[in-house]
Amino acid sequence: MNKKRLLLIEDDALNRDILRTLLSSYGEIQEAKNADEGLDLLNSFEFDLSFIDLNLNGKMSGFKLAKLSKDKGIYTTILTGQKDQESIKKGFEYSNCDNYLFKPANLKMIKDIFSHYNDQNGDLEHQRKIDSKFKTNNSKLKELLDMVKATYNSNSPIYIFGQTGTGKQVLAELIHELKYDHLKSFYHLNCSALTDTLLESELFGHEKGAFTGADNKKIGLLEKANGGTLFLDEIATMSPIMQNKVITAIETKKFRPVGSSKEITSNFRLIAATSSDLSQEVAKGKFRSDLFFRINGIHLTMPALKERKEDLIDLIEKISLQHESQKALYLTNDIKKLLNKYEWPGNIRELRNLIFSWLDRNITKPTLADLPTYIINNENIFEKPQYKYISKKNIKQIKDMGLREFLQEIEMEAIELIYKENNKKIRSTARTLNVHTDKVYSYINRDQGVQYDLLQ
Amino acid sequence: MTSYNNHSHDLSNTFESIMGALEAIEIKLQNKDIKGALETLNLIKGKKEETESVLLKIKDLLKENSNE
Repeated sequence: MNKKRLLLIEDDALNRDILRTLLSSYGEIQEAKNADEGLDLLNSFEFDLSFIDLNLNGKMSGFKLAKLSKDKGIYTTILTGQKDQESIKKGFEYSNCDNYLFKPANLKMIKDIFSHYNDQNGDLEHQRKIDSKFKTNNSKLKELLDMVKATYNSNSPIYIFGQTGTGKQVLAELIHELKYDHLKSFYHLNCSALTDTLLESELFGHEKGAFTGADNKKIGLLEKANGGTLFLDEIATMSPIMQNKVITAIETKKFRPVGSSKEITSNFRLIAATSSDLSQEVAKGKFRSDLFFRINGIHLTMPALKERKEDLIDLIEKISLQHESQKALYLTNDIKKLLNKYEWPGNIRELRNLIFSWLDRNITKPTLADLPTYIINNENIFEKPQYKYISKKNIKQIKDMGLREFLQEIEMEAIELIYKENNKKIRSTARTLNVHTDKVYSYINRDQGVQYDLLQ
Repeated sequence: MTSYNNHSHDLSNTFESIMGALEAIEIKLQNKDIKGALETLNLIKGKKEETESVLLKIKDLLKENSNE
């Protein structure tokens, strides 16, 4: 949880000191040593939680201050030496306080207060954080985010699988934020971008002089991430040698930097991600099955953008607001339809690039001319052709025309092409095509506009 | 009797505060905040006068009762 804004109203210096000490790790504290100062603070600042003594010097009683605090939506605790039933009743009934506790405060008491507060407010806060990164109407993504929310406090390793550009890093950051907020560090390493030597050095660190070029000691990410999160992206690209090296560190949380004899313990939370299916890499023998099981504690699959088209327009709006120009983007229905039809193989990253390219060029109301042809034709620029002779577009044509007519059209197109290449000479066209001249004539007869040379 | 109860209540609160302050000192020592721990210790010392004053009041009360 992030640091809270805390109000402490207590006239006794020693009790104030105790509370200040106990609360210091929970938030930013503002203190008042009498009711008047407390009232000023309540009216001047916003607070999440308040701790109020009852016997206070000043115009207002502690009960009234606690009521005012509660009315402002602050989680209010009365902390007092007054143990009589009448005061307790007044604290709960008149002030409507959340807790009525007896002095002196102790660590367990404060932990319980924050635990209760988090139970009441944590869910809302988590949802706010989730919404800020993934506002979605997609059921698959909603399920995934529910899982993230339910397991936010777990120490189990997390494995994220998702196509490139789906937001795996954003998800990893969200998982970190839900658990640690910004109180602990988040380290990200893309394993595919580094050689084994560099990867080993980045992860484990090294001693000075451990190898040629190691002029200084380097702290590795495994050590730096102690108490926080280490996000290893594209872990499937790790070589078998590196897989051997990291497996023990992941399992035992103990490792030795390169060139060091000293074992280091680091309590990091691991999040690993791949854009290729890791279970298939295991089946192919490219990835160690024991390493797979160690990183696959909580399995999350990010849906591709084509699977969450219902979010497309919201995403466009959100992305356009992230552009430095701060210009509004207007999409006509025709453009929306085309964007919605397109399968977005590059996912959100591809969508982002398109929107930013428009806004970079001051295009705020894109037309068809501003759309790349592969989007208009809904072609996957990354997709390798599945069949040697037939494209996705052909399949649609075959369905529309029937196979016979489709093959005839191909035949006619081939004849036309070779006929033109052979300077409209029928015999040489037939020879090139290895067909009878009648076939070439049938094309010419069909296409009245084409003149052929009868004198050849 | 009511007066005695009030005094003993004050005394009890003071001792409880001192107990709480010992935990605060422990936390400060864990955080290597020696200056802060000494400040808490001084505040505990400040309770000495408060305690003595309450003890005197109880003593006076006892005297009054014995005279009766």
